[in-house]
Amino acid sequence: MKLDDHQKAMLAGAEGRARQYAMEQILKVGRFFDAEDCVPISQVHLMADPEALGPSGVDFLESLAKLPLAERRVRVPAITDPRGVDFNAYKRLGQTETMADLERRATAAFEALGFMMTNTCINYQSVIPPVLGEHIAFGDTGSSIYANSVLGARTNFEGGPSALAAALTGYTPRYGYHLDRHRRGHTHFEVTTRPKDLAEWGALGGLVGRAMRSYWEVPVLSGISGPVTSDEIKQFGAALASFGSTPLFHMIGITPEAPDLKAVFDSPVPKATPLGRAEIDRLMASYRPKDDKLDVVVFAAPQLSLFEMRTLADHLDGRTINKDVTLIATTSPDIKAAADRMGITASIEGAGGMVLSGVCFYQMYARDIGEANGWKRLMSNSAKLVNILGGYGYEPILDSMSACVESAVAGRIVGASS
Amino acid sequence: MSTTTRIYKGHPGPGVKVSGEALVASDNFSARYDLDLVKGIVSRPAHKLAGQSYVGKILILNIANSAVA
Repeated sequence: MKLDDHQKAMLAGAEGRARQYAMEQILKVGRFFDAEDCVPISQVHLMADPEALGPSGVDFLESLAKLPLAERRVRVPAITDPRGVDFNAYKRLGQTETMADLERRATAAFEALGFMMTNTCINYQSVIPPVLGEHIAFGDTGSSIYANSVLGARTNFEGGPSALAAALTGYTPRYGYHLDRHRRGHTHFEVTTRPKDLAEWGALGGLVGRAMRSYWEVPVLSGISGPVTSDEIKQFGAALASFGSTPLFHMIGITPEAPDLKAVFDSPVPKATPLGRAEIDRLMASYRPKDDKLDVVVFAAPQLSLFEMRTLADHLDGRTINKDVTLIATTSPDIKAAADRMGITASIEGAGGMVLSGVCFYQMYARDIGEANGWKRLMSNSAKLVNILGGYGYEPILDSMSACVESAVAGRIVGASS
Repeated sequence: MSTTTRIYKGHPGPGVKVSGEALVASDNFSARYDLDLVKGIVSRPAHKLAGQSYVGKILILNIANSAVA
């Protein structure tokens, strides 16, 4: 892998141990993916919640945080994915002081490195959306697939150490989705129905994701008519990246690199696999329970936008959540502040719900809080969340926000799909 | 006693060479979604290795699903 003089100097330790570690990390990843060189990046989004870090990960961060200021500060704007603990709610959720202490230590270490603690997976909606052709290093899969597909920016799925290395150096290995040749379409789907709500957009993403066979297989969707909203395509992409492993999709006439089929496929255009009402209904039905028991309703993964928060508050207006059901909504600290100011948080909490800031449900020790609260049956409108939580000991149900709210109020699962 | 040898080839990765027992399945894998890190088992009920301990094993699976977030 070719390095320039500056990169060689960092690798040799001329700019301290942190940047030397970072260049070593970049070389390991770059050589694994046969990168020819590095590409300068303009911003970093880092996934490193305390559950993923563990005590050894936090120890490592603290060892970097003790270095002199000039050796440890990030070189490009660097922001963070959701954290694992909301300090205003962790005791009510049954999280332990050990978890909270680990969160405090990790946050202090990241701040010492110069990270801006945005604590959000919807940075493309709430912080700074990247632009067409911008090379970046994003860590959350939902954030990465949105940046690549909807905005036309260029990133791979960067693991925590890779994103940290990018932040410390300003570079990432030039492979995969930084290169034109990997952004071409491979598999063609024709969508024959319009998803009715965000849950169905997620279901559609799940169907496409399940059909993908590698990180390198780029799906192309045609047949979707009319504009798609940011929240709709967010749910679609997050689910696609969760059920599958691909960081890029194209939607003909909607995403910027796909004005038409010829623009994304090297000829000939492959035959399309139809995806319609029957397929979406079948995926939704696979998350349908045998009885109507309900423990917890969660709106998360991705964190809710301001518009989603408003919609949830409207659904809960004048309602009271059943005392046997917990309703949780997670959002970014910035959206939470806006929701507080606009009375949205008060509406949700007035109905008995919890609004959590800077966390996302599956990144906040979901297994532990499920066991602490006796939560088994979980309902959500996020296809990504229900896909994840099956392995965390939950029995997840996927349905619309409306059905989720009606169920939370009734204290049992109700709605069109139940 | 018969011995069956199977050879799986992949791109060389970072790290030292290891040897040991392998868990092999035609399924995908996510380090976050599929593992109970406390119990050391594959925890996703629908996974082909569900309930099996991965501790000290070499995992051979199809592709990585998503990432850890």
